[in-house]
Parts: sequence; C-alpha cells; structure tokens
Amino acid sequence: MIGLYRRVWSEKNVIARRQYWGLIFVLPCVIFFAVFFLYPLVTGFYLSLTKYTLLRPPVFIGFDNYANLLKDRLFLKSISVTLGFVVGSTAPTVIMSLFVALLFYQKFPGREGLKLIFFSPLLPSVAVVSVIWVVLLHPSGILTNVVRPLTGKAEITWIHDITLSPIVIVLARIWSAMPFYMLIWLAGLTAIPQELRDAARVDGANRIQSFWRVELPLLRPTAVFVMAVSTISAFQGFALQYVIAPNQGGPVDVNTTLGIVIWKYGFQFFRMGDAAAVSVFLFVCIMVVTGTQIALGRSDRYSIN
Amino acid sequence: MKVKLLLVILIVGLLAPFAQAQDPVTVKLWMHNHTPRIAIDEELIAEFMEENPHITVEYEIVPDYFTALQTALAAGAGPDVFNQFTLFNAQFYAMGMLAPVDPVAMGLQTIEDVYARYGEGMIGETVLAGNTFNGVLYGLPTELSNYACYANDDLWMEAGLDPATDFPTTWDGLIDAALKLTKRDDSGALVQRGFDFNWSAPIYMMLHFDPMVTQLGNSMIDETTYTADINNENVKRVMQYWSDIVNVHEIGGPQYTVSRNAFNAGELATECTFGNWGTPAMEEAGINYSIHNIPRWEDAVNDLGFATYAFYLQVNADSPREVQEAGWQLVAKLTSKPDRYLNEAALFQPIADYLATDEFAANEIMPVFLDELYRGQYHPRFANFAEVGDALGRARDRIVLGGEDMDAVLQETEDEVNAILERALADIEAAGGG
Repeated sequence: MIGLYRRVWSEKNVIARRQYWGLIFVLPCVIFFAVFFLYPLVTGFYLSLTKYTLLRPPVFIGFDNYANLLKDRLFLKSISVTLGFVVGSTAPTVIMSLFVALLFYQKFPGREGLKLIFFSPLLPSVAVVSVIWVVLLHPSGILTNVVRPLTGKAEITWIHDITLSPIVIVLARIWSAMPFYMLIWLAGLTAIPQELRDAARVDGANRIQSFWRVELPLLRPTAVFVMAVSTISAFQGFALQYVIAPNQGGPVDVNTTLGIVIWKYGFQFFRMGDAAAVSVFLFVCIMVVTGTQIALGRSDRYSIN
Repeated sequence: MKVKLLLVILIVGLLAPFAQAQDPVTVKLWMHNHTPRIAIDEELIAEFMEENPHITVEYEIVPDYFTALQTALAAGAGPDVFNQFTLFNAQFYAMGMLAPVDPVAMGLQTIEDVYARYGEGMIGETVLAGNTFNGVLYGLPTELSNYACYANDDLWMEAGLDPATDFPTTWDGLIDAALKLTKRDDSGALVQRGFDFNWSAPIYMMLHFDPMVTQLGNSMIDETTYTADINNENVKRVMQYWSDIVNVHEIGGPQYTVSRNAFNAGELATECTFGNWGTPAMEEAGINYSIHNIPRWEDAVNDLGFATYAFYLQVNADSPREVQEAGWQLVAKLTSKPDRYLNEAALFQPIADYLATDEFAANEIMPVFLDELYRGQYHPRFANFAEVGDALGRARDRIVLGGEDMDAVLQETEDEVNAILERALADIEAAGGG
C-alpha cells in the first residue's frame, strides 16, 4: 500500500514538475500576450465605458457611448461602408488569388519572372501602394487614358466621384492584397499529394473534374484561412481609405470605414471613449464573422489524412 | 558697530554660494517640424542653457505632431513647453491644459509689457488674440500667418495680363481672370488652372470659406455663444461661388492636384492659401511670383481677407511651478530673434521693435501680409474645431460634388454643428474649464 502510494505520489510529482517546466517555457509568450493583447483589450473596453477627451482623465459613464453610437450618423454610415468594402473586396480577392495560384501551379516558360512581377504589389507598404494609386487616378492620368477609347472622356474624377470612389478603393485593395493570398493558395496546392491527382486522372477525371472533386475539397482548410484572414483584414480597412480617399474617408464619407471612424473620433475629435466603443464593436464583428467562417469550414469529410 | 558689520559681511559671504545655487530644472520642449527653423531653435536653446546653467532643455521635433502631442499629454508624458496651432488652442484651453503667460519669468514686469512687446495698443492685442481667452494670454506666437494671393507672373503675362495692374480686387473679377488663365489640351483636359481654392483639408472651411462668408456679414460660428448659423444667404452665396468653379466654369475642383503643389509645379496661375512662409519653396521651384491682397465681394460689409492663424508656444499647466517658470524664460528666448526666424525660416514673429526696423521695412514679402493682418481677424476659436471642420467639408462636398439640395444640406449641417458645439460646451463644463 505504501509502495503504491509512493509510486502514485512520485508520478504526480513528475507530472507536476513537467507542468511547472511547461509553464516556465510558455511564460514569455503568456506575458507577451497579456501585455500586448489582453491589457489593451481590457483597457480598450474600459475606455469604451468612459467619457475621455484625451486631455483630461477618463470619467466612467457606463454604456452611454454605446447608446450614443446607435444614433451616431457617421458610425451608422461607416457600418454600411465597411460591409461594402468587406464584401466587395474579399470575395474577388479570394477567388482571383485562387485562380492566379492555379495558374502559377502550372509549369510554363517565364513562370518565375511572372510570379515575381505579380508578387511586387506586396513589397511596398500600403501607404506607398496608396500613393501609386493616387497618381494613377489623376483625372487626366494613366487610368483615364486607358479607358478613354471606351468612355471618350478626357477627364474622369475617379476618387472624388461619390459613386466611383468606393469602387476604385476596392480595386486598389484587390490589387494589393491578391499576391499574398495567392501565395497561401499556392502553399495549399503544393501540400496536396500528387498521387491523389494521378489517381483521379487514372479514374478518368479531366483537369476541371480533378480540381473540383480532388483539389478544391482538400483546399478547404486553406480556404478557411484565406477567407478568415482576408475578411479580418478588410474589416480593419484603413490605410487605403486614409491615403487615397479625399479628406480621409471622403468624399461625403463614402469611404469612411469603421477604422477611419476610430481614428477620427480618437485622434481628431477628442472622443476617445466613442472611438473605444467603435473598436469594441469592430472586435465583436470580426469575432462573429470569423467564428462563423471557421465553423462553416470545419469538416472531417475532406482531409489528407 | 564694526563687529556687527563684520558679522553681517561674514554671514552674507557664507550664504552667498547657497543663495546663487539653484535647483536643476529640466524643460521638455516639443515643436512641430519646420526644417529651416530647427537650426535657429537649437542655437538659441544652446545659448539659453549657457545663460541659465541650472536649466536643461530637452528639445524634440516630433513627427505626426498633433496626434503625438495629444496622446503624450493623455499618457502624462507630454512636454512642458510646446507649440500649438490656434485651431486647437481652444480645446487645450477648455481642458485646462494651458498655463497663463508669466511676464515676470520672462523678465518683464506686467502682462501689459508683454502686449507692448508685440506693439502698442490694439495691434499687440490683435496679434496675440489667437491665444487670449477670457482676457488671459496663454502663449506667444512662434509664427503668425495669414494668407495672400500669389500670382505666377510668367503665366499671367503669357495670358496677356499684368498682375501688377490686372490682379482682381473682387471675387467675380477673379473668375474672369481665371477663365483667361485656364488652358486645356486638345482633348479638353485641364493642363493649367487660372485659380483654384485649396480643397485639401476640412480646416480650410474655417480658414478661407468662412472668411468669405464673414466679408458679407457674420462668421458661421459664434465662438462666444458656441452656436452656428450656416443655413443663411451669405453661406449659400459663397457655396454657390465654390460650386460654380467646379460645375459651371469647370476651372478647378478637389479632383485636381492640391493648389499649393500645383502652383509650385507651374500648373496653377493663382493661389491664395500661401502665407509668407511659402516663398522659399516658390523660389526653389523657380516660380516668378507677385503677392496680392485677397479679393473681396463687391458688396462686402467687412473689409478683410482670409483668416489669421498662428502657432503659439505654450506652457503645460500640469508641469511643476519651477518648470513652468523656466518654460516661460525659454519662450522669451525663442521669441527674441524675430529677424532670424523671418530671414532664415520665413516665420513671422510680430515683435514691435523688429517691425519698427529699417530691415523689416525693406522686406518685400511682408507688406501685403501685414496689411491683411491688421484688417483681418483670427478664425473663430472653439473646442471641437476639427469635428466642425469635418462637418462643413462634408456639406461642401455634398453640394459641390454630390449636387444635393443646398437648403437641405446646409440645414442638416447647421443642426449637426450646433450639436457638436453643444457637446463641446458640456465637455468644457465637465472639465471645469473655459
């Protein structure tokens, strides 16, 4: 009995020691997470419950900021603008980047050079990309001349036209984001064992059937990742709207995303409490959408293993 | 008697070193970036520290200045002395962030001496009005600015116009001149604009749209009552003028290169939002320019140009008393060489003694600016300035670009701005400021 007790105690001790060392090893990560993620998250939520003009200490006001947001014209408009930007840019980005990845998965002369050119929009920062687009979009600039045979117009006000402007921003987003997602798709395609494609071909499947029946189902984890990341990134849309759109989010707020509202309220309008409330709202939106995407994408049916 | 005298001398002799020694003070000074000014700042700060060995000045040029300043102050890590745009001064004053000017620390006797330093009588009060709230002065200008119209003389001559004689004095005249100066290529695309407004930021709605309204009557914003009057005939008339430039005459608009950049690129013949500080860049760009007064409406009731604005050096009210005093000493030093700031950095510090010199009288750039300055006034100063500017800019774009009904838009904007101002007043009361 005593022997058994000692053995159990000794095993418990080993487990405890292992857990102890495990904790030690993960501690830096936990501290990093707590300092840079958890603390700002909690502080952000607290600030959303305060009246905070930045220049004086925050004053607790409960959920007033959230109640005010329900009748805040700019905030309500920014929800529809953000949704438009997310839907308008995410679906085309995901689909087009997949097609480009499929193209680059094939072997053809000059593939690596073309890949490099296609990849180039990812190299400069979003701010630089935005400046490039500002130049392209001059009323009598390159883009106007490109479409001139179709429109017959010498000048087109791309970014100051209330209808055209959001479309142009979405195009800029697709152009700048596509290379990154193309790489992810390419990695997903490479991870699919060649034997499965060969087996499909032996079974008589043509290229399209092989893609629909074999590759696409096996790309589901990649698809979930691409969709989740691109949706989160689109929800956080800020830099393009800040640099390309006139007066940060204009004209007439047609490009004022939730990100722009947070910046304006927090750092332009001395309304940090409201900015924090919008941030919390954005956080919840992203959590819900991403959670839904992951839940929909979760399936044991298609797995390489 | 002799013993007593010796005793006094002995005590004074013993205490003298202690009396002279002052506690070390560190003053953190933040300024926005203006490259030509930095070398002069650094030189004066070095001199200042030599003259005041117990004071250390930590001088910093801060990128993304306004955001950085707000967040640093919010985090309690803000500077002791900082310069600030008059557009935001009311916000800082309302929140109790600004310390009143300390004439004694500056080496003067009374606040009247400070005003006198900037000119006798109303002139001094006028130039310092940008940072005077409820009769109390909260800072001194490092650069006082107002706008004038610059003509690109070569482009004017090319169009058969002589800016010296033909430059218009009225807004309608400016349109006539602009039409003559505008050039299009064979396809109809604008390659040279005759005149255009600066559409680039909402703050210009207060710096040049509002003064055009004020020429006809009152400003859109009453800074004393914190109320807005936007849906009125004067605003409609000015808005129509702006809209006609884009939609009727088709000679300009926000879609084109920002007016200042276009002027320096030789693509815009007339620009009216440069201060005296604009000339170095024009000279570098090889622009042959002349300077003119801002046009007026033919039936203007107020003879003024565009708004005056400034950067003021201010002292943080939360800094310890001895740091504040050292800060005002430093401010006095940094405003002691107006000639150098004007000649080397194109920044105008309106110190009376300097204005009276032959050197200043010989300055060819300043007369028009000075003329407009003495006839003009500061932009309205109120908290939540940026938010109001944003609302006004949106109204302009809805009407000019969106073609919406002017009456409806201006009424909505008036309601919105009044709500913003009401909230500003509530915040001020809650902060115990104002």
